[in-house]
Amino acid sequence: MDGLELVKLFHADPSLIYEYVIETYELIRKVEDSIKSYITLKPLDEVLKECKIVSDKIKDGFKGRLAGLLIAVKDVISTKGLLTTCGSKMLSNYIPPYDATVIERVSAEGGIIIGKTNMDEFAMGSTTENSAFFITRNPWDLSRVPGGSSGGSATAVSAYEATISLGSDTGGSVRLPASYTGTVGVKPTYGLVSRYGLISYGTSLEQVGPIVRDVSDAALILSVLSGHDPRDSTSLKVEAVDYTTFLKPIPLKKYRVAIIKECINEGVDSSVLSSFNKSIYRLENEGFEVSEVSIPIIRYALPTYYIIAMAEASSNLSRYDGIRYGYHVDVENKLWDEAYTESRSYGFGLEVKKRILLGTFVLSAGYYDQYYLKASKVRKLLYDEFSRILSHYDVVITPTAPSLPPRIGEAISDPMKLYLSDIYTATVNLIGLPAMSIPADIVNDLPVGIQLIGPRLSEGSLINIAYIHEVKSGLKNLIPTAVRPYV
Amino acid sequence: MRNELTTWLERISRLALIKVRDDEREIVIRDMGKIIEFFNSINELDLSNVEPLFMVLNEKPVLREDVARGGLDVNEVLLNVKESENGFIKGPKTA
Repeated sequence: MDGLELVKLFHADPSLIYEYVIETYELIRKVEDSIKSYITLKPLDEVLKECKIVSDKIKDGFKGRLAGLLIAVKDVISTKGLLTTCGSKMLSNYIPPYDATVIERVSAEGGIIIGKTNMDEFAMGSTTENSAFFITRNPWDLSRVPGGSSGGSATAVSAYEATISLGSDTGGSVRLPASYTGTVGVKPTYGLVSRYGLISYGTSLEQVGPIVRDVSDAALILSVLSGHDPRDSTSLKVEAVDYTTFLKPIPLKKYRVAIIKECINEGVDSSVLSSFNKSIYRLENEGFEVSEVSIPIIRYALPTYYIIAMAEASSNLSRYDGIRYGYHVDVENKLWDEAYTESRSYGFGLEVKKRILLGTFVLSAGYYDQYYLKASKVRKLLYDEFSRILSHYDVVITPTAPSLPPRIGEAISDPMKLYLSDIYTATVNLIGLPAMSIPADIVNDLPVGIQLIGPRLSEGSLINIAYIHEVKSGLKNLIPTAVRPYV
Repeated sequence: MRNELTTWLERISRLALIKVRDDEREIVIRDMGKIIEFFNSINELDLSNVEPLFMVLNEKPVLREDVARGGLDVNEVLLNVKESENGFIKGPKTA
């Protein structure tokens, strides 16, 4: 049963919330030791108290859209009074004094935060192996990574340890783990969802996005999260939309689909390619008009993305001085630069240090024009190219990732291999468009995802297309190998 | 190239206020070389007549009125501070 159906049941009989919560904790007890989705899991008795509050409200007529649902939150989103580490030693004791806007919105609709999920340190990584605390394993195959950086959010939902999770997507950090775990991940249009309280990595690139087990729940949670927030200066002035109205098994218009030639080339794993073709065929059967387009400039998207992301990281992470919060060294008899340097050198992990150093380099005198400015110009070319294509087509479809989930240790040893997993997702962040990863196939008991990219604020159409694909493929509420003995 | 990278790393480390530990130095130098080469690929493009794009917003960023309002609770903020005195955060010397 998905979240949308559960909430209907809870509205009718709130006592069912307790049953659902206890069953979820029972499952967590069985699988969490091998998967490790959570950095912080709230104790059951604390969550049961919150259930009572929601349940009493329902008895008084409350119709919260998430009433009683357990929501897992990536540890990069601020939660008042609840440890928020960003997967880093730097913030291993940090307790935010305020809630992110997305947390306020989830709570106002009766959603219950169950815990904070593991991630690559400061969202820098694609495998969740860069967490300062422990690695998270893929519930489909425990010897493989779940993707990243929102790996714990993806596994929590995939392994039924929560119904909905929130992640953040700077270059594919929601979509990639969704693809690797057989779940649905959404990267909303830049500015649709508030970033207030999201601990920043790449300001101009990132959005909070949900990971769920089917398209209906994606529509449900996106309806709650989206909308203007005056506390985020980049928040769009848009009216709230009820995306569940787009959950129709027939196309709401005649959709024109573009496939990018450069994204289905020899660099893609053959099993990913055949799954991709199967999905396209499903949509063609529903009357979608499919054409191939060429975007040669896309081969420069990945270096462009990494130059900009690292530049923004070096600026955003300059706030960590170990004085106001974070990894602290004794300041007695030290000058400010000695104390800051010491805190930062011990508080940050190696990948984070590399990205801050490279970001500092591309912004430094003598190199700014050669790297950061040039990358910002390539960004403009990509923006213009996608705008041109999306004036003729309603959706661009690509594989979400070029390969199946790598084995633990396989990608992390080589930075270029690691960065390549973002090749199809990162472009979308550079140009601020909405995108979704949805399950396309199961190959040798491993999930494969495809990515739908639409014009600005076209989330409704993407949900409609994803829903049609889900109905035709039957790929929803998938049960991964590690969970099968228990459900 | 190696010596160049080592000098380069020292300069950037000073700017970023980050010291690379001795056991990390080899990996950092190896990876930095590869990544900068990867960055250099955009030099193949002629971008002389292209305007840069820094943000994708079509609208002007929203700013609030410049009026004072209540900040965070001092005691809650100080929960994350290791050294404080009389409600102030204690920092290192500036000179």
